[in-house]
Amino acid sequence: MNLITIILLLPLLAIIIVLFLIPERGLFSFSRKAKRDHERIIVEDSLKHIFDCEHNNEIPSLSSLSKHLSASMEKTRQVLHKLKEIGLIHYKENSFNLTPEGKIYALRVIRIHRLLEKYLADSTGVNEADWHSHAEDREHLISYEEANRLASRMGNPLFDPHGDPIPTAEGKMPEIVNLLLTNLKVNDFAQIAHIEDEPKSVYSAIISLGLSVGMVFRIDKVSLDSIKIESNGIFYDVVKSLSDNISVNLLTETESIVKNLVPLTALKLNENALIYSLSKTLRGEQRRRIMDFGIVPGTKITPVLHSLGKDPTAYSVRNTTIALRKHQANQILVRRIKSDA
Amino acid sequence: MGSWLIWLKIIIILHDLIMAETLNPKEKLLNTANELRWEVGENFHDTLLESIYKNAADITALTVNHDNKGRKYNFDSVVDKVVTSRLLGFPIMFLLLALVFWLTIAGANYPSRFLSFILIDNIHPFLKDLLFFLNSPWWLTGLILDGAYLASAWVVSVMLPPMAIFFPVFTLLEDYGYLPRVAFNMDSLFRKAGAHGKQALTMTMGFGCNAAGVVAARIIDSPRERLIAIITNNFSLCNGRWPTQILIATIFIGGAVSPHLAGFVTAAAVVFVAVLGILFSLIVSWTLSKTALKGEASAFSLELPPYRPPRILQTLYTSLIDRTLIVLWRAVVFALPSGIVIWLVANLTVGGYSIAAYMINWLDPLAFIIGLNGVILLAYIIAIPANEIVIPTILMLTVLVTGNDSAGAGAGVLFEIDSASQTGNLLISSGWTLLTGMNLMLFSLLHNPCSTTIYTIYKETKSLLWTFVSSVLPILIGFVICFLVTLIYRAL
Repeated sequence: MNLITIILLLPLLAIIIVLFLIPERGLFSFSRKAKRDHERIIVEDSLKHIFDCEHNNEIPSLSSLSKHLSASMEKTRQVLHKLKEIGLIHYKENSFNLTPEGKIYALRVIRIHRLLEKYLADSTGVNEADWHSHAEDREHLISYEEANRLASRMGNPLFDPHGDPIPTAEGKMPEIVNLLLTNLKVNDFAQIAHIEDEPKSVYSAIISLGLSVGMVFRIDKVSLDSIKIESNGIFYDVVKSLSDNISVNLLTETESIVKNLVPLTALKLNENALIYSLSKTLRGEQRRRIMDFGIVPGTKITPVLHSLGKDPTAYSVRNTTIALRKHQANQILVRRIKSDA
Repeated sequence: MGSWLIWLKIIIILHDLIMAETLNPKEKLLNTANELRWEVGENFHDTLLESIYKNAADITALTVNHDNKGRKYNFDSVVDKVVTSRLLGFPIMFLLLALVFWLTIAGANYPSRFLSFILIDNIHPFLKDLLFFLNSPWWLTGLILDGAYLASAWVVSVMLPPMAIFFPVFTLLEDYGYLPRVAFNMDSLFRKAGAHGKQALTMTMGFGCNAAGVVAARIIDSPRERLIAIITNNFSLCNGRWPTQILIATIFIGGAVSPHLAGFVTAAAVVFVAVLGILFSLIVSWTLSKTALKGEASAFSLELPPYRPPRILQTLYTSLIDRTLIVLWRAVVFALPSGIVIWLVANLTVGGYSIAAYMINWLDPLAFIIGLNGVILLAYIIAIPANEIVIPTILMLTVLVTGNDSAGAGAGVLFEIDSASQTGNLLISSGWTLLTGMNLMLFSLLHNPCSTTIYTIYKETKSLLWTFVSSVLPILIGFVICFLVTLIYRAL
């Protein structure tokens, strides 16, 4: 090896060593931090799983937890010992449950997760199917104080976009008992209250069917393996595996009101209608904009002008003319009225 | 109907609380409020807004009389039917916009010449004599007059008249209520590019001045679409670049065909470049909305206000103050120091050669790859404050490196030649070809925005990242396109 090679290699070596050892920023401390973060993720994910099981009156088991963490039985057992050590769970033989401290911690993680989902839905353009996984990644990275600041900036929301209640800063969460879609009878009217966001494949299948939280529908037909529902004149076939993940609120309103509802896009030019509701899928900034124009339930609305391709269409509301795009107008339910009154 | 029940409930509970003596009433109140929030539900805000609107409507119905409202409304709807109709909508739009541009270009000619006559042909020599009389050293005279003063005077005389015509006319159309209809017509196209219909307006404004177009993006209230409009505004061929396009097209494209076709071909070439800009603007918008800006929030809203007679005096005042003078001021602020830099680069010599000569030599290899030359690249670097002074800078640098003394006010001083054919002779004798001309036209469209626009983008977005993206993206595209054109041209 000649001298020049050595002269060239020495600084390189020095740089690599420095890269490894810089305190806080170096690769060494970085990997240590990554490991610590990884532990935090495992602890928090385990707590959430145990909490979910207890919440749904199921008994968490070693195998269910190891499946949830996608870790080996041995590793899962270590995690449980660690949780017991910190005092977050009671762990005896093969059964375990949360201590009061563990429950508080779990509720905090759930609060952060649901706040993040709400934030992603309202203030970003992230795809609906990705909310859960994005929140799942970020919930371990932000502190509880940051989450609380986020909450107060959003006006302390009560529910996440899937219809789950968000625990309060004090760790309170109401017990909300929803009916499952599967429990409804033919000709029942109901509104979707909650769509379970796990597993992702089922959730994606539900939203790609076109179902969303807040949707009002009628049960058209119930068969063994699927339920046919009707909403705004459109029929949806919901197979059993999907309908188990949808919770609903039974509506007491009379059939005639719900039956005559159509999306705003169904109106012909100069046809008068009253606004019935704005779908929950109109969120955040977009919802505020629309409501600021006075497009609120009970208002008279009339399409007056199509642009090419009917998108956007201009509507007359309260003596002003507002243009809405098709996908927005589709999320506004109206009831046709005859006279000009 | 729901909201007053809620209020009633709150009042009853408050009453109960006050009645019950507690140790810590404040905490208890907060707890109760928190529990109540669940009962009130999340539709609470919607319900409140609904009832506010209902109350307001009830009060208006009782107290406000509508006069002639129906008739006015009918007139509006007739005009709307025409300007948004399948048959007439787009022709009317193109005619009106063409009229605005014609007014701008034709109308700005005379005031521009007048300003140039005053500021450059008269005041400049006068000040020079004055400084000479005061025994000022040559470098000070050069720095202040040939550098700072001349660059700023140039910017003012070329920039002021078109903006002083374009902005008021454009604002009048806006004030009348026509422009929102353009946004309405164009929205379906821009929606497909992931943008907002109002981007059609900011883009058109960009044809006047990119800095003003960037400011105009404020009318887009959706964060994602506004950023897209700001970043892509530079693809609108601005006022400062039209003269470059016309001059170069006349010399190289018009000059390449037979004389009776020259005028038509020249115009077609310039329009082609402008349309290419619109195309790039749409493509880049689409790409950004699908990639970098995918996660940004997006909301569409567009109001079509009633037509009303424009307030001419107010419009003149606001468009002159808010748009023209602010942009002009920023341009001059940047032109002063850069005039000094231009002068220094051209007049400071090291070892017998000017700094410019060194830089041109250094830039030449890169420029050759993309079918330009070092003079052009250097001109685009030092004439960053305004596209208007790019051609004078190119001419000055060309004379400087070729030593051709036949034109100009003296080496190292900005100048322009009145006739296109003389300019052409100078450029062609310095080695310019049809390829140089074509690529200069493309590069003039696809390069970084002027410093005024860059500064404005930063002021509007408050983000170094987006400022950087909007500055670097067009020049990267410009390099690639010029490189491809060069490849094809040399292969033929």
